[in-house]
Amino acid sequence: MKVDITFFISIAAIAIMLYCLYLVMTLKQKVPGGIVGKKWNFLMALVAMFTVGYLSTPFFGIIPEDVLRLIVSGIFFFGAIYVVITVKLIYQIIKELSA
Amino acid sequence: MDPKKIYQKTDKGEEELRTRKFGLPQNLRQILIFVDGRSNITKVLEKAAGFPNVGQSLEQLAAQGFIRLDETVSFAGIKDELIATAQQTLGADAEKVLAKIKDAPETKEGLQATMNSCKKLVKLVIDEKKAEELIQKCSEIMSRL
Repeated sequence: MKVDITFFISIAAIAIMLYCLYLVMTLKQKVPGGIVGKKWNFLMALVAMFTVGYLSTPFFGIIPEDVLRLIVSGIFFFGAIYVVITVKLIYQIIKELSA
Repeated sequence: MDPKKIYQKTDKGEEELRTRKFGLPQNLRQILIFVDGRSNITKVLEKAAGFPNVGQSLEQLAAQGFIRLDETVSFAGIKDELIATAQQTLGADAEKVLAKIKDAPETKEGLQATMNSCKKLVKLVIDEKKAEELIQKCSEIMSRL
């Protein structure tokens, strides 16, 4: 494993993602259901998936290229889904609050 | 007889207690003493549990003009009912809604705004169906304001 600037950025990204996982799990208790609650379970699953993906980044140097491309494209794909869900959720919250 | 209604003494009732001017029978006089203008009919019935036909006595006292129904609606009473309804509808998730209702201003508009805010909160973070159920029940309670 090569220790360079990329390595440190990966470690920082993993730490932030773990904090994000902690946040979504903690907030879940305060959002048992409703419009937000329904989406929250899915967001939590996505964050868990990202955490696993991010944990693999320090090993990118030793992972076969095919697997590496699959991991990166997977993170991009589910990242896009995450953004769509988040934006739609914010849209619904604003719509509800301004009704 | 609506058990949530409140009877209050009329001037005639107050005078009877002071002077016995109208010669009210002893059992009716006792019931008249229990009418304090704050306790609803259920509470008066509880207080006067040892007396026979309390409901009938209250009606008699009202018919003879010693007491009358308090037509002004108490905000505290309405709030208590809203809190009980929210507790019943939302169960363990009611905490934040109960706090909002407790802190609501005691005006019709203020209470209405608070209930709308509670509906949004429930819809967003608790349950969409329960939000509709809650607002429907609360609207019925608040229609008395």
